[in-house]
Amino acid sequence: MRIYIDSEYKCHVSQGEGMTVVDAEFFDGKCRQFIEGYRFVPAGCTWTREDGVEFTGEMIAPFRDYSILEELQSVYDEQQQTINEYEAALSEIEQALGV
Amino acid sequence: MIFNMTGGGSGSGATLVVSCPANVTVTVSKDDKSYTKNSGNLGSATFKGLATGEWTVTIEGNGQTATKNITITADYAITMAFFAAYINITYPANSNCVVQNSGGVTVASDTNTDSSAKTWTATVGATGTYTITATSTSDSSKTKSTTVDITTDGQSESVTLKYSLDIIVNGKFDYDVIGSWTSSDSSSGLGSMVEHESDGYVQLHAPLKDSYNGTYTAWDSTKALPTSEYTTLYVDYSAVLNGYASQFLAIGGVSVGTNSTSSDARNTRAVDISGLTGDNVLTMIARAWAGNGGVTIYIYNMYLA
Repeated sequence: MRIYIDSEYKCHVSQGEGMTVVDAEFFDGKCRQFIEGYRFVPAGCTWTREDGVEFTGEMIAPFRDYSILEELQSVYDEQQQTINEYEAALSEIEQALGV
Repeated sequence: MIFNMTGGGSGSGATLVVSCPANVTVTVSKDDKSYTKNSGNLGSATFKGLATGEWTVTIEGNGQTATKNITITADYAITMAFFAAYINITYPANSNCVVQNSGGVTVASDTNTDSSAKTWTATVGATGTYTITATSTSDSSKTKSTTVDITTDGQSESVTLKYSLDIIVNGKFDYDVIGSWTSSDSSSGLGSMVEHESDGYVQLHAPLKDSYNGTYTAWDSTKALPTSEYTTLYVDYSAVLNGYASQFLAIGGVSVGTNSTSSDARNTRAVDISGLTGDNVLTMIARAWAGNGGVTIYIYNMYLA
């Protein structure tokens, strides 16, 4: 999935000023709230945490409470499942109607 | 409570001395007789001329009450406290350890000048949540804290503080930490994870299945690691790979890949786990992307800190 990282390596789903484009399959199927709770440090780059510890990439790590991100993703997955079921039912109806 | 017999009684009755917290109400009662005094700044109340027999002694103060039943046969002395609970603490070598109440007041402390961990017992005098903190005397940035909830008189709790938690040491897993391994995913079954203790590393290897297809095999620890107690995972490793960065570790929602598109010389990397909550399974991954040569990762040491 294509995402965008800012100067703090925080992830975004939309392009913004100064952001870098990254293709990361780690985020395939993930909702916006999940993705934007993450930091992506590419290979060859280094991010320094506020306590001074340095992290070199590739590292993909949540900066928001991961349990909340998981819950948001779970709700998203349930919604997507419902949408898929509706679409499948609609497709059957269309087929039956010869539309 | 400590009971001390201080001597024989007299024809005018026995003397009872109650030692207790300062400035609390002390009441002694038997049958239809009841006497009350304040323990004063010295925390002592003396009752004279008491008849022999069963007496009930009660102390009250600051919303707390404690009661003891005693049998007086002669002069009598007792010591009473509202509350006592015990925290048994094991903490690292060359460190200081403090116990603080929820108001941040230090209620107990200890120092370890030995080169190995030390165990001591802190006594606390009230219910509440206590924070136990160990700090290295040689490096104040090394510190570890945990909390204990005390709810009942006489409660005993045990805690162990460590600045770091070893996962792999010189190529050997700490199986008390990880349990064992179960394979969680395999697109090919061709990957391998081998503990080379004599060589000092754990080896992850992922070959190519063919010129078009990579391989992916993953193993999950059967025990979840206490990642909420630490902020960083450190990995001492090297990598031989042809092609693109490869994921070789995952823990909770964190993913770690190799550092470059070519072989990595041995180095120690930090991984940010501060966003994880609770305990999390460690996953080791042998992965080669299609179009690459095989990938071999050597992990020498790994620990949480």
